[in-house]
Amino acid sequence: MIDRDGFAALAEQTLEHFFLTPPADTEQYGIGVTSGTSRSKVLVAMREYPVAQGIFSSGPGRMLSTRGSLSTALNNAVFTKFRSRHFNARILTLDRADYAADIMPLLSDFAPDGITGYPHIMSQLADYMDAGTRDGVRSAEYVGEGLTASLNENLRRSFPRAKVSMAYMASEIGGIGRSCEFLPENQYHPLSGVTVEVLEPDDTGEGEVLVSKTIAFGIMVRQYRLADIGRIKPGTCRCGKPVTFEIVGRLGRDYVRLAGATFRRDLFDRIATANAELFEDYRIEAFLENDRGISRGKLIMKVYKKGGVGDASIRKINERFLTGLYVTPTQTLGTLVKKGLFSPLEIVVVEQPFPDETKEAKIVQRI
Amino acid sequence: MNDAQSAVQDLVDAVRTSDASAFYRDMWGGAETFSDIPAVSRAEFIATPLSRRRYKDESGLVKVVRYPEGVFLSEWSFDDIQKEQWGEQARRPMVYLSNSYEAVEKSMWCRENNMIPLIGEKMAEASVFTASKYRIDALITDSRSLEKMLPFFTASTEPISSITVIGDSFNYEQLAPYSRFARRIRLLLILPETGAFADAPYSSAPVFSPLGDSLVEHQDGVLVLTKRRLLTTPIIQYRTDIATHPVGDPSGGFTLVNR
Repeated sequence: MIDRDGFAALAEQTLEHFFLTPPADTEQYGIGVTSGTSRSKVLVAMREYPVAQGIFSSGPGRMLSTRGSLSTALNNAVFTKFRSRHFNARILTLDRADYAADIMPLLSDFAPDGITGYPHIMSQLADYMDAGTRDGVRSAEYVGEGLTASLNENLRRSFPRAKVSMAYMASEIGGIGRSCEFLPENQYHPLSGVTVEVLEPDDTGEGEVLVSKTIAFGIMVRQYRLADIGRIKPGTCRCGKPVTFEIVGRLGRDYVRLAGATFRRDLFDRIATANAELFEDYRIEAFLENDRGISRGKLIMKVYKKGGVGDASIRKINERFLTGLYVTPTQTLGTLVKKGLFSPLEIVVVEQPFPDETKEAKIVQRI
Repeated sequence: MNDAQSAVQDLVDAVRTSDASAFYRDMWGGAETFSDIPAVSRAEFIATPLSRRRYKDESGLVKVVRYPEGVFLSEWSFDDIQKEQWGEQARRPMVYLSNSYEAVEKSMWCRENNMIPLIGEKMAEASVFTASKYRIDALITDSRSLEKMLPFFTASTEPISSITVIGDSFNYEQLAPYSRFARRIRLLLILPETGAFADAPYSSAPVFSPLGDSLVEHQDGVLVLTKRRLLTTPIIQYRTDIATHPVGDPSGGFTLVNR
């Protein structure tokens, strides 16, 4: 089992192999670079593209892609080239600087039949596509982040005719899993040659995801800790694939384990959506606090609503989350507060809307 | 008519009679010979959707080209990308450009020419770091991005094999300090919608030479360009805003005015 520092050593191995023995045919190789936007250092590794796996034999002929890192944009172009062996394929990877009103007629003229990218960025891009252009989209592949219920609903409204699929990958090691037509959101089958396991699963089967695969030149990463939380789903899928895994969140963000409780963003979102009249957006900070020598969990919930949130609404928000938010299979947050394991939920009203972050982490564990 | 003129006329004939698009045919009216056809400009590209300027149906990349006067799409097939002269053959090239579309396209040029490129990200620190990790031996860049690579160059013990600086204008004094960081520095004149069309080895007063696939003319003090190949969105008598001064040599060399 290795973590990011351990992977860095493997990454060096792939580079050394490339320096000493560069491949004569470069087509199936590329360079994986992490974004470096996390607190971790940038990683550079050679990677092998899954050209032979048949995943490029079909797809949209006119793909519109959002742009994450430039490495991701280049990979999308490379995948388009792989697809072009089977059918006529074009891609437009739109820079965020071009999300402007004057792009609408250009996108209408390009007439994409497929979209790919981060779900929340695609949701923003949809605002710059007219209804006719969005109706023409027949496939939507989401990558790079989980698909929340609210985002999924939003995107289905924006692209009503798009068949949705998801891909799970990490920039430093490439593709890990893909969805199929029978799987719900955030569930995947491992790609050929990839093994997915879960470290120390809890009662619900959730734990840290471990990935094993060949990176490049026969160099393998075994049980790489990606800092994502997931579970293995039992049984064989209707598509016939024997292994299915679900990604539920990012360790320390969107998924926090604290003082015996598990806080999941999708559960917060569900209650937030059901109480949309009380507030428009929220952020959670979770941490341990020491109260006269007793360590307790603590949640601070910041809420925003245009025009403000009154005292009556604050009381309702408090009550809804205490009674409705299950943080263990059988106990709510309110139960744990009564037991003294958690301090009362603190709700803070903010006056400005929350900034739009690339990864939109709504639950963060403060150390 | 010599071979080169004949090839250009063949291009004009193919475009004029094409079923794929009437863009140039409508612009040219009844004109049929290369010498008679009027120039086209960026304004016409801005005013005409890509779908009506597309002459080939091939796989490739589409990009947004944005100027103060307007925005339009440009499309490049993988085949045409491969044939451009963006850089030099290298073992470990890096593409570091401030325009994301150009960065991806030039990186695909590397791949189409059997090279594995490192693409530089926006954050300069990350790009310098990855360049060092990958031990780059060639760089395709623009003036602004080149400056951000200074920490990489000052830390390197040897010059890299080549730096290709692309753009439609250059500050020769600003580029001077970089001449010691590469065995060759090449200035490459480009526009996103036309591709590369002329180059010059770096000097304080470079004379640009048209590339083999480019017919460069000078009309009313500006450069008018024809790319001899049938591109997805062909470039034929394309009037640029690049002010030039022909030097009168047989190779068609010219200098840039006020650049």
